[in-house]
Amino acid sequence: MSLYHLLIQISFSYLGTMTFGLFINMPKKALNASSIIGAAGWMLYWFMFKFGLGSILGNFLAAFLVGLLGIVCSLTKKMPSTMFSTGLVPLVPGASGYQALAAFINHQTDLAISKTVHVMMVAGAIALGYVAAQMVADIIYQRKPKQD
Amino acid sequence: MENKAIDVGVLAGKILVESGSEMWRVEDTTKRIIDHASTNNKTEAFTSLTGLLVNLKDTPYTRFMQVEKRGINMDHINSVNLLSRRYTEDKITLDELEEKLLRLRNAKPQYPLWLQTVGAGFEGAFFMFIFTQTYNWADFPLAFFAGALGYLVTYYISTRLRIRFMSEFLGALTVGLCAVIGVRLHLGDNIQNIIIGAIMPPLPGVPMINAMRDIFEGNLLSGLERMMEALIILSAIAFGVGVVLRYM
Repeated sequence: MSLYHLLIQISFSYLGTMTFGLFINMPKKALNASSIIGAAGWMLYWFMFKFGLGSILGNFLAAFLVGLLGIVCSLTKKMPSTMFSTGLVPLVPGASGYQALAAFINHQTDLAISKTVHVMMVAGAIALGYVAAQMVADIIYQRKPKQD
Repeated sequence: MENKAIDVGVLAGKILVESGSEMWRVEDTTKRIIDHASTNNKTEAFTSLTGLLVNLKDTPYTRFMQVEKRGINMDHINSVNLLSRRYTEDKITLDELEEKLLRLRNAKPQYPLWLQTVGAGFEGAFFMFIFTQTYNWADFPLAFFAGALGYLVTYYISTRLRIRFMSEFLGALTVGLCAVIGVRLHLGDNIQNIIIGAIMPPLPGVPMINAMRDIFEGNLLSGLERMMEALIILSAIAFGVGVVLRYM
């Protein structure tokens, strides 16, 4: 882990999220903020992964951070929080997914199934982290369940 | 007045579903627009990914609108949100709202196609570094090219073909072929890394998250629909890459 690696990780997660915004027609006002959120979430995950805290907890907390920052941005910029969910894009378990697929094709079914389960757990951790952030915001802003 | 409001409300909801918004936002926006026009606030809405059904209680007004095409368009979500808020603050009238919504539906994307393609290419190249944790600049050009070409193929087929999921399959096939042929021609080093990066643009990441949010919000129907759609797209992509890995 050197400064060069750190700079690459920060700038590429930022630029990657920004270029993702280009082809889902992201409003220009939200492009920079959503990219910063993407980079922040990825850096939290990266540090946790580098310090050996595991990928499930890392993904959960990173998605939680992305959700919280998204809510803060949607309140300050008065935009729907959907805009800032693109911050989750760097967390997508692309490499594990590819390894699972490659193992299936090479007839290593045991390895493939364990990789697939890992991908599903990571995806679940990301979703749970993101929803947990919404829950915290609901508690703070006292948004009650719908009643008739 | 109420008859008109229910038309406009369902139109706003339809644009939101077409742009890939979460379901609670669709229901909320539709209800806000209709409730603002009617004095007895009793709107009921049934929403799914394929159609919206809205009814104003104790009146004869009911609307159903079918949703045929779906995608992700963040700018439309933002604009509809902005317009409905300005309408409920009485800054624009119902007629102006309808006119603006209709104009929004036909609006071109704010980024031209070449910029979208370049964006998709760069996304593939940047995320190759992020996902694989390798720092090999030799793969950068090929990952860019594969990502951009894969996006173009997906885009053109999805606009020309009525069958769903074929565009993602052929896009993934293109990405795989680009990576394999490029590496054989010594334009890149690592097939695996290039595919992991360049396959990013067609992956259904945002629909997956929206599906989970829908389910946690209690919109089980649309959540499961979205989840199913995302899983089929994922399988189509896996098939496309798998064919290349198996036979090349």
